[in-house]
Amino acid sequence: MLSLTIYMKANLSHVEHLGNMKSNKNKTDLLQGTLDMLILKALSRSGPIHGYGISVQIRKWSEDVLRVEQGSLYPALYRLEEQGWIDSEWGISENKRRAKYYRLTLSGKKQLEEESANWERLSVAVNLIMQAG
Amino acid sequence: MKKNGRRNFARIARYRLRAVFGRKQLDRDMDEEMRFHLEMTERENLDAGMTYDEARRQARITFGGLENMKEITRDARGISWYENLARDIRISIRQLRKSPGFTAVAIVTLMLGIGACAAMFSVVNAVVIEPLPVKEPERLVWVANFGSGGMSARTTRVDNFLEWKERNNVFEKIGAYFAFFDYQSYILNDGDGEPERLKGVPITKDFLDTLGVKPMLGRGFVAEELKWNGRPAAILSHSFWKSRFSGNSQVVGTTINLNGQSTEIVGIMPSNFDFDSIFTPGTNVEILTPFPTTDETARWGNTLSIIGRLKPGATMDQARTELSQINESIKTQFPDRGNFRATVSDFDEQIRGRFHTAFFVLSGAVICVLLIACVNLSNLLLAKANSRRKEFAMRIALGAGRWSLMRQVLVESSILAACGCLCSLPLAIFLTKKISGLQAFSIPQLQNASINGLVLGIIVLLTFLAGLLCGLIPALQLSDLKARKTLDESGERGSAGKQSVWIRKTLVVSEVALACMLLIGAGLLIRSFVGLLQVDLGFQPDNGIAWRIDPTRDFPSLAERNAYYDGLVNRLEAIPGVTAVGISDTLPLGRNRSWGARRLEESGDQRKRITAYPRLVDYRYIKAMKINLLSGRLFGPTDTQDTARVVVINETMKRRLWQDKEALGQVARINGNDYQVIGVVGDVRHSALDEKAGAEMYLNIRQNGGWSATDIVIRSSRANETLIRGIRSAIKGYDSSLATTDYRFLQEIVDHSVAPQKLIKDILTGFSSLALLLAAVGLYGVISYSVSQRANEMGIRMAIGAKREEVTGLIVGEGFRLALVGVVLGLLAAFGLSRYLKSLLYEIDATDLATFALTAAIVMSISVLASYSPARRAARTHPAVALRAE
Repeated sequence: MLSLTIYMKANLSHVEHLGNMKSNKNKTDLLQGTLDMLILKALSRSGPIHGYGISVQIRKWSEDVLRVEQGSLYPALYRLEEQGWIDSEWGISENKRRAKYYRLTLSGKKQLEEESANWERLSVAVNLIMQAG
Repeated sequence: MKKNGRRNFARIARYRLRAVFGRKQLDRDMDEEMRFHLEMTERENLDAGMTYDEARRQARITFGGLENMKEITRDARGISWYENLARDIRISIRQLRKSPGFTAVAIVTLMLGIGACAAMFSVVNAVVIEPLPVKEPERLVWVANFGSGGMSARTTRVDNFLEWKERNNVFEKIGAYFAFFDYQSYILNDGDGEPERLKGVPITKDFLDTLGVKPMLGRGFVAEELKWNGRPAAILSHSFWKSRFSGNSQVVGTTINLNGQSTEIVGIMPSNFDFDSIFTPGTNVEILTPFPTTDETARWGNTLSIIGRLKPGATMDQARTELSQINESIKTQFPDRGNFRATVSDFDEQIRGRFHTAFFVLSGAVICVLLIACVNLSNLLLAKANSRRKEFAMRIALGAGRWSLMRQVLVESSILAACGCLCSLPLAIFLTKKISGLQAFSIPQLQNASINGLVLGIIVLLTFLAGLLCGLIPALQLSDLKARKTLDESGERGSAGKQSVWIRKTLVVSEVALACMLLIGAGLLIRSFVGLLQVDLGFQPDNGIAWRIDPTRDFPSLAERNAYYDGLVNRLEAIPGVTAVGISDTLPLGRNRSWGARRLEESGDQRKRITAYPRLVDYRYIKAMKINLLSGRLFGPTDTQDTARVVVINETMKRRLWQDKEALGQVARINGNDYQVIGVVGDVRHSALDEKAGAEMYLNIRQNGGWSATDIVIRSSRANETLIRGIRSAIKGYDSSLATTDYRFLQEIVDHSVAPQKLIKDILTGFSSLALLLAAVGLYGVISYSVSQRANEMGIRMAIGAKREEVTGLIVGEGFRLALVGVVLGLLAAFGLSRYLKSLLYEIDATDLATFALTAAIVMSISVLASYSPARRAARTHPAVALRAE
């Protein structure tokens, strides 16, 4: 199983560069961008969903390969919300508990498209290298 | 893209604001969200078949530390410098609330320092810095006659003024006012109530234009009003208009009864231009009237105070050259006009230049006070920081950054400074109001002092600097902490290092030195002022009242005018308690004009001409004023219009005209008439207490015309309200058309003349007392702290047999030594700086030994007192208690 714990550190450094948003937008770095992309993707696939749901979905869709730890998930959610890519709202969960639901915004959708394209290129490139030899 | 950027900015701003201000709510939300997550994981684990406890445990393991998680998430939420700052502020406020005594002392100290500074600055701003309320004051110049001497020597004849005005090429405008306006009176009689005496200044046509000031309502004077015996008109001062006509703009164009003539109000001056605040500070001027520049007024001699506005680019030197050329040609053309000159000087400098030194000295003093307050606070903070050394060392050991610790100390001192600033505002406003409200002080523009935007800005800046200054040393101290070493140090209090003790002592020494220096300055001014008050005035002010009498009626002859006055004097003399009554048209320490006087040889030759100050008096005046008769006799009732003209001269005039020869019986020619000298009297300080008398001559009002308004001096056994009422009804009974409100005690006239010196002395005394108090508090703090640090040592000393007095002596000795160093430094500084006070001192040396010695003694005794109480406390502690303290 591949753990994404490593993102925690990267996230922190990202926070410190909030002022640089413009340059960040087109040049999101790989590790950092990946979790964000996964979250955005999860939200786009399942509609409004709470944090716990996102972690369950990612685990399920990756067939238990990726497990997003809470220490990475929530900072990422807060960050994405600050970027304006996702929105949040309090709602009632399936088991009648108050829970915070996240939803993809319009600019989040755009960001997801952009990042998917990048990812496509990147994975093709990485695969080319890995299969070359 | 751009629009998007803006929206982004708004969103981020909202997000950040929420991060700072909605922090609690966000924290609660986050908490709930995390708990939800935890619960869901538990449920999942239960579903997977775990036992309840196992499910809980596993959920917690996967989740990690809840608090740690929150911290990380919080960081993601946009924590940054302002949140750090907010936290520091919260911590500081908590800290400050924990020690209210310290906080109160600190805030009060700063409040006094900043408040004094702000008030002083608002005064300096009005008196020295802010431009005079006229258009482009830098282009205005005074054109005086000889430039020094009595008012007559500074003023100029109307005809010369007109020549200058016609022929010059350097002035854009040139205007003048009638300098002897105080010899005239304007009696306002509006039918109902008492006749009221107004002070009015006659101005020439271009006076207001030269200053660049326009009436707020109405207009300036026109040709028909500026003729000799022209249509009566008046412009009201803004404050008079407000108080007398309650600011009713309808009065423009209406008439009032002034000196029995129906006079049109043609204009109202704007509120920012008060004639008196510039030209005659301390004297209210209610109206401006037209002054005709005609042959009639030309015959009055030197009467005009002249102001010129230089053309753009023209210099004062050009004006000097040109005017002296014009003067040469006037002198050849009209040799009978006598000698005169045109002295050109800067307008602003003339108006308020002489107050610059005083106010700079006071500014320096108030900055010293603020410095002392800061040093004091710095010391307090240092002591506090030292008592928290362990805490800080622990935090450093746990990984807190040095910067964050320093920041906290600085934040703390800034909070104190900000509180001090807030508290100081009412104080500053109060002080400024108090000082500017003192109408009696003849300092130009003083009455306009107020806390304005600039002053507020300075206060905020001062506060910021004060906060930084106070916190800097403690902050630097802390940043130097060696965590290990401090933690290793024994003792609960965590003893301060050598360096810290040294800094605290230096601070307190500098405080004492500054206070000592200020006190010496104040001491010099006080001694100088006392000296000034002890000056022999030449007359006695006690229990004397001067009552201004301005009959508006016309007298057909001098004899009838004298009879009128005699009748009044007789009435006044009959009032019980009145011991003497006399009349003069020129009281000491007031208006002054001068006439020429020549010594006449027996051969009839005119010799030696001097300028002398004439006083037109009745035969009772010199006695009523208690002016000393040195030789000869005074006027008597027998000296009248029909007997030989006689004059009484003062000592200075006698010396100037006849040196050490006998003057009695000699003849002086004054205004073309010959007068026999019948008596010599003592000198009277007539222009200022610190100015020696000039030549004075007393002329008898029965033998001379040329006087209208007079002051009646009434001396009594007791000058009180009953007497005033008695005099008032006597005057009223004698002539109901006389204004009866205008009287002054002679002592008031004397006080008024030294008011600026008194103000400056009082302010500096206040500042230096404050400084001494603060320094004493500082010393007390340092000694107390040192006592607490050395409790152990004292305990041991006493345990092995030291007596209480010895312990007390030891501690007091420490304070004594510190104070001594401070005093020596203060003395040296004062010695170097006191020469700047020189121009403010009267007959006392700037390095006056007695003042220096006395100040040193005062500071030393206060210092010993300040260290005595902690010393006694130390000596009272039981050795066992002191030893156990560790």
